[in-house]
Amino acid sequence: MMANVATSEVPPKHGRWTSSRAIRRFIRHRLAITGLVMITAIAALSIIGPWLLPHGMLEIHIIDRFSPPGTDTYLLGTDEMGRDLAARLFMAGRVSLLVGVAAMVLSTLIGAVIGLVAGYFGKVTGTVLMRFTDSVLCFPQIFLLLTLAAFLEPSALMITLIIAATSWMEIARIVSAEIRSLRERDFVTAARISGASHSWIMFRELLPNIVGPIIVAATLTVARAILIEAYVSFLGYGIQPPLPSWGNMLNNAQQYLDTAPWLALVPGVAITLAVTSFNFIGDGLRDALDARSDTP
Amino acid sequence: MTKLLTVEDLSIGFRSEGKEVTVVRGVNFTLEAGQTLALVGESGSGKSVTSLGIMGLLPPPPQSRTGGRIILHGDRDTDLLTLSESRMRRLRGDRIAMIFQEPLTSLNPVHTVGAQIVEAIRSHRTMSRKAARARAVELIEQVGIPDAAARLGNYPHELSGGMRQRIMIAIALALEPDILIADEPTTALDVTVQAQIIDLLRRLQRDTGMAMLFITHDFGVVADVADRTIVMYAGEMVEEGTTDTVLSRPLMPYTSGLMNAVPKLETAGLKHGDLQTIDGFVPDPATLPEGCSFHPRCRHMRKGLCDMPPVPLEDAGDGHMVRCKRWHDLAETGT
Repeated sequence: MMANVATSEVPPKHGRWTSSRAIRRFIRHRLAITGLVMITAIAALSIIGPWLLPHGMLEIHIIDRFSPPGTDTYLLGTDEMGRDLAARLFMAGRVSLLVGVAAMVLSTLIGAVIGLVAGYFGKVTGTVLMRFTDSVLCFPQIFLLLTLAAFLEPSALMITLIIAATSWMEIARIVSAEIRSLRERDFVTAARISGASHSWIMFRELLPNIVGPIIVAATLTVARAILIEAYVSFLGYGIQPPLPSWGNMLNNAQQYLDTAPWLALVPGVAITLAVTSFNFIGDGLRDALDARSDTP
Repeated sequence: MTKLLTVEDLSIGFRSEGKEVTVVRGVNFTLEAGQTLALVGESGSGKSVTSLGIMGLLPPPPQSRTGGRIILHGDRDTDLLTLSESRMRRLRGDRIAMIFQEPLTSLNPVHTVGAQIVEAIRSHRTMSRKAARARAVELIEQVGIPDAAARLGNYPHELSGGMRQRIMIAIALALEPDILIADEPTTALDVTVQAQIIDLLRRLQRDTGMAMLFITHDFGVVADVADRTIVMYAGEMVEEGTTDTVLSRPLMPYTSGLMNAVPKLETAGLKHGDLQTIDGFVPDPATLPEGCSFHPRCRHMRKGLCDMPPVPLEDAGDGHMVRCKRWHDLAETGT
């Protein structure tokens, strides 16, 4: 057994030591792999699911309304207008995942750039940017979100922008802290000595060094963005019907909680699965990419 | 001899907590093509700050203040101290290159060494990636690393310290600079590798005719590489001359003290062979002693003489300069 462990630790001759080690660590992280499988399944179902089902998400079968899951061709039952819940769930999955991922990309971009500039230049620039970040962080996100959502036309794009605008701060802080320690390293001086410009050093020398923490933070941001989208939509300020999202499906379901509980359960479970999966993946990535963790 | 770099009356000061502290004063020297000048001194003597001044990497004013001139190529218009940042950036790495102490951390851990050499070339020259790669292979061969093409794909952590310093040298030489500043390039390496690197630098200098400014505290290295030597103490030049004269006939007590502080194999472990040291520390540049800044630590200090300013840099013949009021009597009594 011991011998087995020892031999498996010989790093491959070619390829990157860090990444191959990280990948091995990630694969060994059971929850992370579970999360990855679940997310893949949810994404696949959301993308191809609607084509496989016999009913469109807007088809109304008033006779079949409130069918419980498993009735006839209604895999997950129907809602109060007799629309197929499965079709709506998968379409909603597209919207929710898309909003989550897009919001993550945007907020990661904003956060990384702000953190990079703040951390690299430090001094006045850094202080101004980071205090601005802190001040945005001071607002309770939900109020900021609802205020923005109330003033702006709700649409998938708008809700993405709003979520991104209220969730870049954490990444900015992580990046700026990492950069502040990295910029003191000799290779930065070496780069300056060979005539590199500030932007070159920031984006080509420093940024690749902190891809790990950024990926981890970004993954956790997806989970949070999905959750935020769900509760903004639940409160009626987000994605507007008839376009379904997991959040507005819940909103719809609350009046029938006692008569047709599956209307709430189905999207609820979807949200829970997606969010926990992303969180698991994030945790796995954190363990795998953290250079300080000792497990090989 | 072509004068590549002339430093005239250079002074560098820093401002910290409202106080201004001058760490380099009245430094003069000239770098000539194919020649090596050594700057020797303890930590804190101002030698590295001088090199940062030449590279234009001092923190911008008002945090630092510079005086004097640093003239490149004898062209009175290119004073490196007043050159704009964008012009300075074009010179850095191109005409003036630098290698420094820590080859272990001077390479970016996430890029292959090939990529780092290629980018160093392409940041100054318009050259295709392929051509730059070919040049990188050439450079790696030049610095004596076997199997150069395969090395391009290595990450820094896959190479030894000596190899990494060779890569740093390859990057520094990529654009055939006129001036190479080597800031203790061998300090972090073990002795055999140290000798190899010094040999390499000398060979490359012979081939390219560049001027070298060699910053070190190791007299063994100085004897190996330098044509001329400047000894610095507390931000001032205290002795200057050809390396042979300075090493064989040091006039400033500080220089001889430093030389005696080098451990010698012949006397190691013997009773009388205890390592000689210079007592005390380099003074805080904010509170320099009056007169000769070395006098509180000097065995030959004479009250009323050494602690009175000014202490000029005097010519002891053949351009052997010394900043000591007693060099004459010390030379006679043979200390």
